[in-house]
Amino acid sequence: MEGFLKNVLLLLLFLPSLHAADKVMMVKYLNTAWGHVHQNASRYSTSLTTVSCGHPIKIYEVKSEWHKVGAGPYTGYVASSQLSDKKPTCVQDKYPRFFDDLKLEITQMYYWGKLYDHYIEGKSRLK
Amino acid sequence: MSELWLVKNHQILKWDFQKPDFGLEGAFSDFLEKQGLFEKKFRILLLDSPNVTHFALPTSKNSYLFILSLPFIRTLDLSKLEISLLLMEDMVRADAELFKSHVRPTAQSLLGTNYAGSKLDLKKVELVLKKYDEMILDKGFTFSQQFEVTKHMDKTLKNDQELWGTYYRMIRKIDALVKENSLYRNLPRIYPSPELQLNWLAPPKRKGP
Repeated sequence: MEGFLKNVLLLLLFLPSLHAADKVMMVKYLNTAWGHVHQNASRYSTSLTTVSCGHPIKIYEVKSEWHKVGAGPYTGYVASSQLSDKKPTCVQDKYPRFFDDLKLEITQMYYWGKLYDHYIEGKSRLK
Repeated sequence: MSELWLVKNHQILKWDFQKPDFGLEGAFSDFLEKQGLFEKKFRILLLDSPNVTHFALPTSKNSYLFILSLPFIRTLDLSKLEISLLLMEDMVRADAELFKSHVRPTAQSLLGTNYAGSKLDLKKVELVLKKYDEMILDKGFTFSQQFEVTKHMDKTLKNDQELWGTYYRMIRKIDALVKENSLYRNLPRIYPSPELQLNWLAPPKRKGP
């Protein structure tokens, strides 16, 4: 019993280190005006934080549709289509005065980011 | 500006909701390719509201931004082919810049201007957004604009009788809907009118002497 309790205590002590800082594979950048870091790999999952275009995002894991990422203190998931290898030309950078003077509320930035989670995107291709 | 309008009207449009994958992306891409419309980028935003049935908002060149009501397509029980035809109609309107021509006079005072040294006049932005409201929620298209769009669809689809027949039957469904369902009685104000469209597509035969 004592031995079992000791093992449980040891496990609890080392458990945080099992979630030790994920290894950063690379850095990518958000390529939509605003976007969300989701708790899970789902467009409907809770948003942990809203990030703006061009924000550098640490990549921990790459999957086909979702990347596991770190943004500030948050670890979550961003849709792969919303990430670029190079810093994109953001609409906020092209028209900084326009966006500054627009005085968007945080709720509006939140919903702007949500738009990109809800789009059904496609393209007809020349075959 | 279109995305700003979508953000500001999220409560009326109700686009932030969970929905299944209907396979619209693949179906519409295939449809466009069969029609010979290649390298067309599109975004579809589904709405959980009957306030706007369908519309193509202005966006960048060779790209389309569609909004589409899920209650509308469910009530009509539209197939993916019928939805594609509806979106194609909206593409024709977008290519003809019918919406842009309505907004342009108001937007010109705002876009392409340099307001260095002064502040952005938010009233001008509000005026442009009001034009969006006017067109999408209130006034819609004119009869002559609808005639041109319908005639274009008629000429394009007549090469495939089955496709033309599907389009005709879809307009007939919409005609029945606006007459029977009070939720959609304002649809002919935006897209006048399904009954006239049916006449333009298949004029009634004249009785002989």
